[in-house]
Amino acid sequence: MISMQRISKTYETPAGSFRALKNIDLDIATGEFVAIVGKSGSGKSTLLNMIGGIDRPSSGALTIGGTSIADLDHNEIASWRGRNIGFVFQFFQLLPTLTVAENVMLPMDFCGTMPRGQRRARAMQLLDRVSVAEQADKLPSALSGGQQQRVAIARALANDPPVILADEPTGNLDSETSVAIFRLFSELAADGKTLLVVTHDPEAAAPVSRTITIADGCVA
Amino acid sequence: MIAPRWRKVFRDIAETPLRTALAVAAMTAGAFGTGMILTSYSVLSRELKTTYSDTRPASAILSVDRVDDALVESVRRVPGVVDAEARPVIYARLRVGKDQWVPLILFVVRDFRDLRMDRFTPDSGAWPPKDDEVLIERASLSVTHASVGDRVIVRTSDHSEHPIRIAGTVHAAGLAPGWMEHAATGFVTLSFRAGGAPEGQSTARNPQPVAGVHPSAVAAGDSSPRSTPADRRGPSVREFSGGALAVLDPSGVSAARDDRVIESPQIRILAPGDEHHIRDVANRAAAAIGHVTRIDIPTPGRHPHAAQMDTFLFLLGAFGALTFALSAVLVANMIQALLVEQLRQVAVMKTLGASTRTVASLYLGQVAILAGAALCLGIPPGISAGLAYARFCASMLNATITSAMPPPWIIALEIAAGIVIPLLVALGPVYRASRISIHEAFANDVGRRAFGTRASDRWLARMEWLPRPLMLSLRTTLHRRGRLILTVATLAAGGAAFIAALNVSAAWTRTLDADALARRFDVQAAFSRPYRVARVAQTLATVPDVVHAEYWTEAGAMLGDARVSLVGPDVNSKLLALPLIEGRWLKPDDDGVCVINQSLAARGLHTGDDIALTIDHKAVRWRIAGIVKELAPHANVYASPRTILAATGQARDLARGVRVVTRRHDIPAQVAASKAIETALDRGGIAVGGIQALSDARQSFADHLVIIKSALIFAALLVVLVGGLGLATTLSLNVVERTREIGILSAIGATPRTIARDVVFEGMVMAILSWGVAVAAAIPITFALDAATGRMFIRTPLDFFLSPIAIAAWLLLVLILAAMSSFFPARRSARMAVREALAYE
Repeated sequence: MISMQRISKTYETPAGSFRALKNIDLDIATGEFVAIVGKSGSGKSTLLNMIGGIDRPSSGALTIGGTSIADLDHNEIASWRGRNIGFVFQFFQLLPTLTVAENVMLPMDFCGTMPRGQRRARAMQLLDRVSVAEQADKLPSALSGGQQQRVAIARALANDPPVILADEPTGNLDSETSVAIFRLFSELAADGKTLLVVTHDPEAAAPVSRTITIADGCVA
Repeated sequence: MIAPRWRKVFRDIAETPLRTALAVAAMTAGAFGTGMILTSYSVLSRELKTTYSDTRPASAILSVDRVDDALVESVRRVPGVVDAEARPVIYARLRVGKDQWVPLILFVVRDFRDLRMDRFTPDSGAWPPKDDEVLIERASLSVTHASVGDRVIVRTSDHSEHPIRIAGTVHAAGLAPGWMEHAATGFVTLSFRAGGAPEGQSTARNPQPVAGVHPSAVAAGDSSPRSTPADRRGPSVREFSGGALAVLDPSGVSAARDDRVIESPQIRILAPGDEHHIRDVANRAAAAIGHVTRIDIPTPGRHPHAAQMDTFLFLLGAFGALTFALSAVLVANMIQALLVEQLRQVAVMKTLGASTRTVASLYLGQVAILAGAALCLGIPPGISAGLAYARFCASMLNATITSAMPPPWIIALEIAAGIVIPLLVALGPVYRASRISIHEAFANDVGRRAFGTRASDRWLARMEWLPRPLMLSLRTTLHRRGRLILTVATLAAGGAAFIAALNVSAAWTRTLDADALARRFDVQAAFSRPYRVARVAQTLATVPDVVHAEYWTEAGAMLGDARVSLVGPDVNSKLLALPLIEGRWLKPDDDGVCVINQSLAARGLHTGDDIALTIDHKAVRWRIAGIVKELAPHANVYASPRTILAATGQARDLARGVRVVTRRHDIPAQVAASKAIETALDRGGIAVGGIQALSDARQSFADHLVIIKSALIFAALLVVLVGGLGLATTLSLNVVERTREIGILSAIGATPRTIARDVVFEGMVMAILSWGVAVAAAIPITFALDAATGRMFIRTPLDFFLSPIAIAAWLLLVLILAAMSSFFPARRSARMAVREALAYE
């Protein structure tokens, strides 16, 4: 599903060039539930950003689901990402002025993957899947952290993408909630989604099928 | 069902009421200012033109020796003449107090019900007047110090006094407003008799208005700058429907003569077309008449105060454009700040699949919604204010607004500009924000370099002499360069406009004062006819206030088609010291040499050129030795008395007027002296055509500037308002962006008062920076406005003047603006809960 060949990423900073990723070779099969671990600054989030198309590699080849990311321009990659990648962020990143249901409907709105009349029903279905359907018409500020993260997961599933990327999804949650979130991820993996999760929480990440350790920009 | 993306847009607007209010306020200010200025501009331009053209202004005015119905009929038959009408003019004076008179110009109307040209309409009171009544032009009623129904005393230039009743007022839009000219205008019937010689005798005298009176207490209706007050000579006969005058001896003045001067016979003709065509027709009419002494051709379609209007409209337009531009800059500033706050959400939307275009459309849509709201709020009051201002200006110029609606295209333009311009302005920032990479947006350091990366940062870091919190505030302010530059630029533009407006206003005042100083006499009188100098001097010797008197040689001449005044000051006169633009002033031994004023020089004349004049149908050529600057829109030619006397053949010992230096020079002394002088001349049998204290002449010109100064001040304040909004916006946004920083400061011990003080300090720093830029920017703006308004009105740029009062006033105003703009943000920052502030992203 995901193939990375000699992926490198270098950032230019006021302090000079910084190589965040160094010649990463990595293959991830469909349906794998992979945890990416490593110290702060090791390049975990950078790796995730490359896969999600949020950032572009300085060199190397990256193919996801048969699509070479380097061949897509600015607008194509946005459209591709909306349909193929679901993102879950550490700080949830729900839009504060939209209700829970509207946040989940937003990706469908952008990508047009669902007829307009069916979007609300789909959103409710997804919210039910993550056990927060009763919060559908509330604003994110009225929800707890765990609830917001569940909504974020529902939003990530809105366009039924094959790949889910999560960057420290439990970083702001208590341990019990973290376990619940990872359990949810396991269910999604069992449903055939390919999941990559950056995490600092080895206990919560127990259900993963594989762990990749990144150290100093390289796969350890 | 509204899509979630658009719900976000509406809720984002509602979620941030302060920012939304500021954004709408900025756009509203622009819409209001632009609406007001465009409305007043379009309505005034249209209505002044319409009001003037509705009067059916005469195309040409022929001054003749005599006029009767048969003559008028014969003129009507001249090819090209659409219509003709006789409208003789009586130059009189009206008593407004004990020994106090004002000029009164009476138009004799044959038939009030059949006004063929230079029409006027009833305003109040009776219509038509009876034979012993007069209808006063409404804008000059105040000059009469009387009311409708009052009986006033009128003295005609034959020195007879007549009671006459003010039966009503009329509106004659083709005349300059009397209150500006300091002269009253009235309309009387054909049978109005102001004394007069027995029938069968005729006399003519061309009444001599006071030379140099601004701009015309003379032939009202002579709106062309070429129709200058001028000495008229030669035989002049009046025979008009039974009236009669005596013939003036064409060679000069005879002591034993019948001094009855009654009126200036005129025939007005209507000949539509351009000036060239009108001149041809007028010449044909003159040839048909045979005894035309003068032809005046007003510039077709040009109101008597068109120069004033042009200047005023130019100022409105210039400041309107500036307001609009500043408002656009302000909107750009706010949109930029809005997008910075929204960057993280932009990143999220892009991860969810939104394209650049989709993201851009959302924010442009938000701008369009705010712009629409601003239009609804700004345009109706802008139009109302524009109409009110148009009415005010129209009343100043004695015009009437008959149709209050601006042209539909103006409203369409305002709406289009109100929507399109903010969108255009927003396009750049929105495009940049929409195109930003998700990675950069999440990193949240877009457009912000870390502090310390620039040389200026390191210089700021060495600023340790301030208290640390203030130092932090100063560094933060100066570090956000882009926003600082925009805010300072917007406020500075407002300040520059404000300072420039006050500079130009002061320059006008200084120009008036300088012109008054250049004329070192206190009272100026013109006689109804020439008198022996010795006789006048003997009479003036009885007035204790008179210290010195000079009797200059004066005459009229033609320069091509234009009328010019010839003025010959005494050889060693110290009474005139006009500033030189080129060349030199007259020398005692000058012969065939002259000095012209800037009005004449505007025709492309320079020092060293020859000027070809026609004086009493004889051609003369004089060499131009110099060009002077004076506050006179009409053309003056200064030459030695010898030169003028040689050209005109006038007798040397005759005077047509006198310039007097009085014992004291303050305004009350000048006024008292002019009364005393007139009384003495009157007792001495010397008929005064007009007398004016110099202070009154100055005031008359100042009254012409009222409308221009009001435009300057109003437009400047509008620009200041927009600039102030810019500062308020920036300070509010800065506080929002520093929320976490404020939380940290609070957590480590800063009191709310300290934090609020820091916000105010930030505002003051921006205000002072903008003040410095404003003072510098005001210089070229002042130069440009001085040149433009001066050339429009007096055909020469005003002298540059940087008003220290304007600079100080702006400093005070901008500091007050900064304090006011800081108030709410400072209060907000002081009230922030520490926990909330620290959690703010």
